[in-house]
Order: sequence, then C-alpha cells, then structure tokens
Amino acid sequence: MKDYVEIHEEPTKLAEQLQYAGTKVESVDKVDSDTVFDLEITPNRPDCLSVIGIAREIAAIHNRRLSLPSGLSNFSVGSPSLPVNFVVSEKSLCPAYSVGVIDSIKVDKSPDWLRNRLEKSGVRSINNIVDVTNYVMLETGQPMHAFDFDKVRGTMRVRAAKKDERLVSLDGVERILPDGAIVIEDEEKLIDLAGLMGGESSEVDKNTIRILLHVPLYDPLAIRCASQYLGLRTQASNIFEKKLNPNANRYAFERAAGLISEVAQGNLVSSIKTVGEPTKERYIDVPISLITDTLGVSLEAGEVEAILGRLEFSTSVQRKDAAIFIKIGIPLFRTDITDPIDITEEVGRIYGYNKLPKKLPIGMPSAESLPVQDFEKKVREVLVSLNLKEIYSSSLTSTSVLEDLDIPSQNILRVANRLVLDYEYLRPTLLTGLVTAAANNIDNFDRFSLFEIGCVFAKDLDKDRLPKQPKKIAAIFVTSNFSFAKGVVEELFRRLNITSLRFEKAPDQPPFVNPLARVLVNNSDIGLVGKIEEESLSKFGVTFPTFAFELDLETMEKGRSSLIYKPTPKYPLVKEDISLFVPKNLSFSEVEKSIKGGAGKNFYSLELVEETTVSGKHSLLLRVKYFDTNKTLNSVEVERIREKVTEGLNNIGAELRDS
Amino acid sequence: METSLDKIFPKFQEEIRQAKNSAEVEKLRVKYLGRKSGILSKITQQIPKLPLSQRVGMGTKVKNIKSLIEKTLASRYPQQQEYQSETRSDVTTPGKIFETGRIHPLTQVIEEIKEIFHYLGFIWTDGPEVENDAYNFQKLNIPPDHPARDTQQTYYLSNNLLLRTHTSNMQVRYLEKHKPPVRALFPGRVYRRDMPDSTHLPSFYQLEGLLVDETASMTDLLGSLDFFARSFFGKRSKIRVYGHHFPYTEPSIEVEVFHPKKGWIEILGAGMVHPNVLKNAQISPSMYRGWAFGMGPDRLVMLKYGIDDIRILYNNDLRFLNQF
Repeated sequence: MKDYVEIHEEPTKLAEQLQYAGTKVESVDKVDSDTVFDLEITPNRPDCLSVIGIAREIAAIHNRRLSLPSGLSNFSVGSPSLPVNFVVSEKSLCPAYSVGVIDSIKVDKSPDWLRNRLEKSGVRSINNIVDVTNYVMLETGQPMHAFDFDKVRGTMRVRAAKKDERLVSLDGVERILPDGAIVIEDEEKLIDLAGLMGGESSEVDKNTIRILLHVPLYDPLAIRCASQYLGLRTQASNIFEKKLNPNANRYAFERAAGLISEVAQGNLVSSIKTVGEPTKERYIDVPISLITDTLGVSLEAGEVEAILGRLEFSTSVQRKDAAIFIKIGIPLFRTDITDPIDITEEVGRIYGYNKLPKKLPIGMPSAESLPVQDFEKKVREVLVSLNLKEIYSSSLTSTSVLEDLDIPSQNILRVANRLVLDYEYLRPTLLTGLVTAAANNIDNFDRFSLFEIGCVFAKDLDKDRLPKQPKKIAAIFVTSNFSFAKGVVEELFRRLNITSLRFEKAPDQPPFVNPLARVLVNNSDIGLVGKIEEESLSKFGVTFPTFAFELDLETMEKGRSSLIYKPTPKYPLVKEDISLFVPKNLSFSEVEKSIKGGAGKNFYSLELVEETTVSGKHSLLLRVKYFDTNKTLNSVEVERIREKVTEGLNNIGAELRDS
Repeated sequence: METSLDKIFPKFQEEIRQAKNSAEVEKLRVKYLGRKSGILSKITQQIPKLPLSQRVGMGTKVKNIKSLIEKTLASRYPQQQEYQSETRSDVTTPGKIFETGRIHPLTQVIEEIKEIFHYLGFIWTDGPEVENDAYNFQKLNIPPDHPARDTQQTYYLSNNLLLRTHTSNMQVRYLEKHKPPVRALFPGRVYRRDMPDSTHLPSFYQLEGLLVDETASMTDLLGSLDFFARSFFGKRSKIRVYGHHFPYTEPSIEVEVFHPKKGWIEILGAGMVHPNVLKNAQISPSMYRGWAFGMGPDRLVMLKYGIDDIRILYNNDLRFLNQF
C-alpha cells in the first residue's frame, strides 16, 4: 500500500478511518513485518476490489497524493511480429478488451516479493506468468487471462455457450455449461470459461514460451448467471460480475506486460489490440442544496468541491437563478455514481458522518390510531394473567413435524430452495411450534400452558395476490382438559369485550380430536379449541392429556365492542343451587337458555358448579343468582321465579333432583 | 349478665346453622366478633363498669366464647383456617412461590423499542412475510440479478414469491397507503437461507423504522438513533457511524452503539431513503425526503440479557422463559 500512497497512521487507526468512510475492515493482522487488512467491499464499489482502489480511498481521506505504477515503458514490438487473431462474435458479451502476444518468456517460479505479496493476499503462487496476472488483478482490480499461444489453434473467438457444452477447466473438472455463459474457443475446441476459469487445454505450463494475454470487460450479468449456475465463484468472477471501469483494460495490460518482461523476460511481439469505445468522463449537475439538505449541515460550495476533488471528481460551480449547482465530472472508475443523490454520500462519508450534529425530528406526523399490534399486546396481557407463557417458534417447519401431526404436506406451502430439512414448509398452524415447544419441556415439566402469536400460511391467494398469511393466536395446555382450554378462550374474549362468542361441536380435524369445538364470533368461524390427538402427541414424547386452541386475530379484533359498565345490583342477590338430571342429548346451552328465559329480567348469573354421572344419569349442579333492579326480592317473588324456571326446565326434559 | 353470657354461644350455633352462604357467615362474624359493635366487644367494653364481684372471671369467659366462635367460623371457612393455623416463626423460610404467565423477552424488547420511538411520534404495523419480488427487491432499487441480492440469501417459493429477507419490504407498501409526513416502525419476522448456528437462524426478527417528510436529514436520523441508544442502553451510551451501502438508501450508513459493558457494537443499518424508492411509492423526491433504519431485536435481546446463542430464543425452554 505504501507504494501507492503515504501512510503515517498506525494500522488500527487507518482501519478505523477507512471504516468511517465506508470500507469495512474485517480484521487487521500482523504477518511477518507486514500488516494484512481483510476488507469487506460493498457490491457498488468494484473499484475498491483492488489495492489501488483502497489507496485512492486513503488518499482521499487524508488529502494525499496517489502514485500509480507506470504501464509499459517499451512499446517496441520484437520480431517476428505476430498477428493477433482474436474475434468477439457478440459485442455485448465482451464490449472492450486489450489483447497481445508476449514471446520468449521463461516460465519459472516467481521472485520472492511477488510470491510474498500474493500469498499475503490469500492467492496461491503458481508460476511467474499466472502470478503476474493475479497480481495485476489485485493491484488494479482488472482481471485477465494468459493463454499458452502455441496450444491455441487458429483464431480465438468469444461467444455465448450453447446449453450442455463441456469444458475441462484449470482445476481439472469437466464442467457442463449453461446457455449464455461466455466461452472462448479456437478452431478446434473450447479453451476458456471466460471470466470464471481458464481451460486446461491452453494452460500456461513450464514449457510455455509464448503467451496471449487477454484483458477483457465482460457482460456482468452473463458472468453472474454462469457463476451461479455452476456454483463456481472465483476472484475474477466476483469482479467481472460488477460494473467495471470500461477503460481499465489497456492500463492493466501494459502493467502486466511490463511486469512479465521484468520477472519472465518476455517481450511483446504483437501490437496491443485494444477494442472498445473509449468512454469519456460523465457529468452530472448537483444542486448544492441537495447535499446540504440531505446531510442536514451547511457547507460552502468550496468545501464540497474540495472533498470531491480528493475523490478525483472534477467540479465547477454554476449558478442558475438563485440556486448554486456543481457540475461534477465522474471519474471512469466510479461506475457506481449515477444520480445527484450519490454525490451526497461521497461528500458525507469524506466530510465524516460523525461530525454531523445530532438533532431530533421536528413536528409531529398526523395523528393516526395505533394499528393491530396494540390488540396483540392486549391479548398477550390477558393470556399472561391466566398463567400462560409466551413462546416464539420457527415459522418454517419440516415434513416430519407435519406428518406427526397428521397434516398432509402436499397442501402446504413450501420453499423451493430448501437448505435444511427442518426449515422447509411454511407452518399452516401455530400448533407445529407449540407442540414442538411442549416436547422440549416435557422432561422437566409435567403441567404447563404456552401461547404464540404469529402468521400461518395457506396456498390460496389474498386480494394482493399473495398467499393468505393471517395472524393467529394459539395456545397449548399440557395436562389439562377441555373445560380448562375453553375457559381460557372465554376469559380472553370477556376481557377483550368480544361478546357474540359461541362454541359448536365440530368434526375431527387433524391434529385436533374430540372433544373439539369450532369457535364462532358473530356466527363466523374464527378457530378451534379441542384435544390434541394422543397418537400424534406421543410422537413428540407427550403422553399427558393436552388441549389447544387456535384463533384468528384479525376477526377477533373486528368482533370487539366497547365495554359498557353494568350497574352493580343495589339490592341483595338471591342465590339458588339447582341440581338436575339432564338427558344425554340436551346441551348445556339449552339448559342455560331455559333458565335465562324462566328467570327473565330477574336473571343475574349462572354458574356450573359440578358435572357428574349419578347411577348412569348425567347430573348438573348449577348456581343461579336472581336479582331485581328496584327492590329486595321477597320469598313469594323468589318462589314465583323458581316455579317458572322449574317449569321451563321440565319442558326441555331436565329433571330436578330432590337432594 | 352471666346468664346472658352463657346463651351467646348456643345462639351463635343456631344462627350459623341457618347461614346460607359465606356472606351470611361473614355477617355473623361481624355480629359476634366485630371490633366495635360486635356482641363480645360490647360486653368487654362494659366489664370495667361492673361491680367487682361480677367482674371476676368475666374476661376469661368472654375469651373462651370468642375462641369457640372463631373455631366454628373457621370450620365454615376452611381456607381461612389454613391461613390462621400458620405457625411458622422462622422468617428466613421462603415465601409462597407464585407461578405466573410470562412475556417472551423478544416481545419485551420489541415493546421497549416501540415505546422509545413512540415518544418521537412513530406508530407501527406489520405486513406480509410471504412477499413478492417487487416489494422485497425491485421497488427498493434492487433489480433482478443485482449483486446486492447475494448478501441476502433468499428463500423462494416460486419465481416471484419469496420469504421477505428484511422488513424493508414495508417501506414502499406503507408509503403507497400513507402520504407523508410518515413515521412508522415495522417489526416483524424475516427469513434468510442460512445454516442455523449460534448467530444465524433461517427465520428471525427485524425492526424497520421509516420517516418521510419535507425536511428529513441525516442529522435527525443520527439524532433519533442516538436518542434510541441512550434510551435503550442507558445515558452513557452513544452512537458512531460508518459509511456503508444499501441499494435502497443513499447515503447509507452502519451504526454502532456504545454498550456500557461490551464497548462498540454494530446494531443497525440506516440511511436516507433513495429517491427511486420514493418514486416507486408515487412520492415526489423533490418534495419529500426520508430516512430509514433496520435493526435486529433478537440481537438486542441477546445483548441485553447476555445470551450467546440465538437458538435459545426460539427453543422455548420454560427454564429460560420463566426468567423473564
């Protein structure tokens, strides 16, 4: 690095400065007498995938001079002069390149300085020719490839691969190519998987005397697609798949040729053929107000110009009416700068974000009601007060969990590119996670209740043409019974003021079994409460009776009404215990309806105290309370109410027990 | 006086037999044992006024009756008896253990973040986890085959449908339905195609913040994040900022907060909303500017409670959950 820019700072200080300006330093390691920086370069900055790129950043941060190594000093072509037969069949695949032939090289191992620098950069030294191409790639950010000129037959041609063409690459692997990958062929065969890896057949080896050096600019998308298809990522492909400086190939060629003559004694025996339209500097007009408003700090045009100058942008201040613009020339290596807003980032990162004042946003946005999640908060509060513990489980689940719960997986949404078996299907119910969580605790606890709020997924589409993904609230009760689970649902709805709640017997539906009830609010189905099938549960190691519910959060919220206070009775309540035998087909809701009807306006409350079977008969012990809003009920009045209630109960077939 | 004393307990027994409910039992307790106007209290108050001859032994008798009544009452209130019979004298023996429900620490942290930003006028909502490519990528300035997609290992359901890789999908969704000024948080579940390990899970949480108005700037982004850091990590906390790159913000930054015990920790990415993103939401970038940030609540939970493995958060071991 010190070859390119002066550095006075300690390595850690330098790392910090680079990082503030946007180049993240993953690590700083001492290697021998040197310091190696491991940098993370964001995909917008291919120019920084090079030593010169980083040196340029350091120069900009410190306002220092960047010195670049010279290209080729001696352009004289040795004799005999060789023609370069190199053709690009489709210009978009390789819109610019430099190519030339170098003769009389001595392939050998590289000098120590070269090996050393490569190895510290994590690149294995191969021979002096390959090493120079890699070195110049690391130095300039421009990848290149050297072919053994004598192994190439006739004209070389860059073209798009046809599907299933085969090529043995330098690593000895035969690769089956995708449609559209860029390849180079000679008159007999494919010789290069362009931008990714050279072909074995034209490899530079210890007998190589003449090389053809090709420094290209490829279509980034073609490189990226081929790299992804083949699962092959090389340092070159990582660079080629980004938007590179279209004019960098010539300098890189010269630099490489110069180094080759230095380390392998080769000399150029062809002219350097450079193809591609020389691209000129682009200009954008940026109002200075855009920069200062976006950053929130006032800067003079001169300060902005100074910062941009350090980054090698050319600037000239212009005035249009009252507005001050800066006409900015973008250096060719900055392919990431396209819009005026990009300039604000350049100014900001070099000015120093940490120098900006910290203020809070002023004013308030228009008032809006808080959306669904406050309802979720309320739901959580109620369930926690009922001794349930909140869990978070994975929303991706596995075939085996679905199978164990008897849920057919063919109807369940799944990811197309699974990585791990456990994360493949999108949960169709929160129970996948709740049952798994129950299983995780069964060794340490024998009685507990868990709940989760989250999305479940279905294949049918919603109005936005996305799969339906409603939010649900679900709970599981290990070592419990139906009455407990139902009691929690009822209490939850009471506390949320959802009044029109109803339960209806439902047919079995995995993983629920009897007793199982559909939960209805305003007559629309919002979920289920019931027992979890024992056979399923046992697969999770849970053998205690376990119940669960799952309800739709959005419909619940819609079913809410505002709580209106009910006056507490001014006069004493009259309590009656009623003991009944009821026929098997008579539901509790019918008994309740009858009692309410019988007591009329004097009805206050009804509570089920006990449910038993006495000598084969179904028996209920109920506690009913009567009241009157205007007076204390006397014994005559109570007797009259009692008679009506009894009569009603008799009519529906319930039989009053004497005791 | 003495004879009337002897009648008190039999009368009480008769009355308590007729008592129908706890309220009536309670009435009897007040009638006989009430501190001011209970029958026994009244007698006790009169004792000093009695001639000495009658006074002798009265106290003991009243006490005996009181204890008989208490016992009878206690048998009607077994629970109360339980409490009354407590004989413990060692105050170091532990108190009763109460089992209560628990809120998951992840919820607690998300609620805390919401509360902090609510103070700055932010509201919140969530959106789809199965998202189409447009809202997760294209409208955020990430066209198909953009190299930035490499950094976000994506689960696809089909060519167009994917599991959102970030809560930034809500930026354009929200702005399409709400015109500026806008201040909103989007907490929610996101997905990455990663091998599960102590710092990665295929599904985890993210929290996005978005502000769009006519005067938004980096300075109030930094001020808000600094406010957050100090509210969440304590007054000694502060932030420092690095340049970074996200396709949907320009300029883009990464923010580290100073953790009083652990030093500088990278917790969020942020930046000024890219003008193209505003355009994609039909908002004029020449009239409005915005800023956005994204942070990982899982990581904040781990930092806050010293948890070193993200999987603990989603394993739901009650021995873990019961600590919060």
